[in-house]
Amino acid sequence: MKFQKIYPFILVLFILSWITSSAQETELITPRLGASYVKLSDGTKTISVSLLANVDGERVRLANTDVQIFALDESGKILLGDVLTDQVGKATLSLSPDKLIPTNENAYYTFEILYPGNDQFTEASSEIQVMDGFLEIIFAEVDSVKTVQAQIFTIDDGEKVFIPDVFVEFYIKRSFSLYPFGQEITDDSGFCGVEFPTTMPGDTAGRLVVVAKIVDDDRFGTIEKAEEIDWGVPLVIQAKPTRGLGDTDAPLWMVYTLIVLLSGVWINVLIVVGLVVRINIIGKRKMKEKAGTLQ
Amino acid sequence: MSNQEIAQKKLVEIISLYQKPSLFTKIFFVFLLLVVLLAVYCVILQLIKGQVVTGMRDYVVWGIYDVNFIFFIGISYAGAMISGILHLLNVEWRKPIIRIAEMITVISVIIGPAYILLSMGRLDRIFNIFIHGRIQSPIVWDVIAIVTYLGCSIIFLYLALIRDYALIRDNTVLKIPRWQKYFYRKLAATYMELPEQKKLLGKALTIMSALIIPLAVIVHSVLAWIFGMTIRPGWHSTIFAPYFVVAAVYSGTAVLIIGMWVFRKYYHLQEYITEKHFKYVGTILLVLAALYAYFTFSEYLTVWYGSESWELEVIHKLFDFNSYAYLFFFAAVGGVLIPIILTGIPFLRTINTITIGSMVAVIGMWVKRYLIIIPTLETPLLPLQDLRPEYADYHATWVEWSITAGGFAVFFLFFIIFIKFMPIIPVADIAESHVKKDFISEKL
Repeated sequence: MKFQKIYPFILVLFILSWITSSAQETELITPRLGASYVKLSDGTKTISVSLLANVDGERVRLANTDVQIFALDESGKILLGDVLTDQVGKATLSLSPDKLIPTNENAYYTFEILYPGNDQFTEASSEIQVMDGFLEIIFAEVDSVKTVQAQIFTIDDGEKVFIPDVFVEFYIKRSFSLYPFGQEITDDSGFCGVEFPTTMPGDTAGRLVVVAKIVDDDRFGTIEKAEEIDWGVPLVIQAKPTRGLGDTDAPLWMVYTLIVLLSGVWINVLIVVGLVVRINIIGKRKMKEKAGTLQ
Repeated sequence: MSNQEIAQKKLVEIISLYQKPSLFTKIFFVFLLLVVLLAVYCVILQLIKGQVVTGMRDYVVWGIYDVNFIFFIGISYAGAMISGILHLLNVEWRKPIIRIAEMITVISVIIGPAYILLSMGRLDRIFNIFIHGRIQSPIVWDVIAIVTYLGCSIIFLYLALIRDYALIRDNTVLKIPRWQKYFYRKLAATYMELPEQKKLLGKALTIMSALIIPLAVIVHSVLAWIFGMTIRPGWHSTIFAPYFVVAAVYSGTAVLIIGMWVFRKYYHLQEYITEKHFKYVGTILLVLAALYAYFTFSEYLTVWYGSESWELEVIHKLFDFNSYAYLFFFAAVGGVLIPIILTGIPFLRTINTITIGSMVAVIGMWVKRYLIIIPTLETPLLPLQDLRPEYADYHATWVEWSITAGGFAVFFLFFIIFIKFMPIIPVADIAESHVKKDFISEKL
């Protein structure tokens, strides 16, 4: 009888828990959409996207997810391309230098990055506004002092407009990373320069690649420029020894030693064989003599 | 009685002692054949199934096959060093025992390298060492040295046999099959004890004696360098070559003493191999044991004092009673101290005790070779992780033990077969000594 009174409570509890779980199931997660703009040395513009979400307190990278990238102008937006995120939730759209991208009245590009969402994640979008900047590297040598200079400008109606107060970093490309050797802010004429280190090893002709970078600038985003110059210390490649322990051919002293040792042994063996042959000949001669005497 | 007549009499005497095999020899021969058959079965099994039938794995790539290889090459020093040196020094008492020593050399140099072939994963590629072998590699040096050593050992044994073959050829008393006589006639090379022939033969023997000593040293040095030139704890040592050479002469001498005891006892050669021989060779064993002990102490003291962590890992294993300490103390202490006591203390020095000391030395030297190879390979530079236990620790399988037993069986079988075709005592030399003795006593 007591148990019969409990039944309604159990039923209410069950219904409440069902409603709560249903509510949880329908709650969508808002992902974080990050985007950055980089202009590479050859003029290619890239828009890199990263898509992350916080699921049950854990940061999850959204892989194999379609992200759309648009360029905005007064008339609306133009789809530049669709990209698919990789295993770490990242994707990059490359725009060739000759690709026409609309700008606003201040000559800024406006890119919109859009993640349309699905039944688990909400829609997410991000916007980048950058100006198309140009970075040039100039090598100058005055009184034996080698200087790497950078000049920043934009183009307005076909005219170069030099940009002051831009922070430029200078690097030398190494095998696995960039070696920083200076940083400077551009002057009114868009120029800045640093002294080039004289002890950097280059290739056999002293060639090395100098990289100038503007990183995450409010106006230009990131711009990279790389130029090759023969200011490095030429690399002297040690002549590879033609005979060594690690080579197919043994060192000559080893070959000679082996020949001498083996010759020494086998010459003696041949002498011994010769002695045995002589013993045999002497014996045969004696036998013949004996046979002759008997006859 | 002429020199030749005495020699013929001695020949008949000696060969009659063992010409007809005893029942024990026949049973022993059959037993050895069975052991060899088991070993052949195991070799076939290994060839079909691969190295998985052995205890060798990724880390311990050398096992008791390589232990046997070094052991057999080591005991070959009996003939090379003892026989060679005693011949060069013209030691008179050497004569009854040098044939045994020379036979030990040839037989062990035939058996030893066979174990190297068995420890190879791809035996079918053996020819590559001759086609693509690099002179820089100590393995290639080893192949060259062992082949040369084997060739020279056979020539040395043959030269020492010429006089005896001539005696058998000329003998009319002994019942020897025709085909065997034909071979004796050919091998005797018409030797007739002519002064000129005797001089030439003596010259040839001297050349080979002088040649075989450095060859033996080179063979074991090269073997030591295979280890020593590898940067691994317990191996990378500058004294490894002389240490190996001393260990080899030591084990070779010990095997010679055991051989002397066996032939003396079972072929009734008490008249020829006397207590004097045991005491003389025992004294050589004593000196070598002391020298070997000195090298062992020097090697381990230097490594232990250096305290290099990787080296110490191996040292700790050798001194750990849960690991290799029992074997280590048996090999490094028992295997040296017992022979020293039994051969060094005059009232203990009898034929049997010297032989027991030699047996302990031989077993100790086998164990020592095991301790050189296995603990080092069980101690790689990078720590062993997520590994099946059989990959980390080496345990020889029944296949390996059977093949090892087979090798020893072949060793004894060869002896039984060899003495059917060559006198175990150098008859001509013994007869010559006899005549000399008689001549001196007559003069006195």
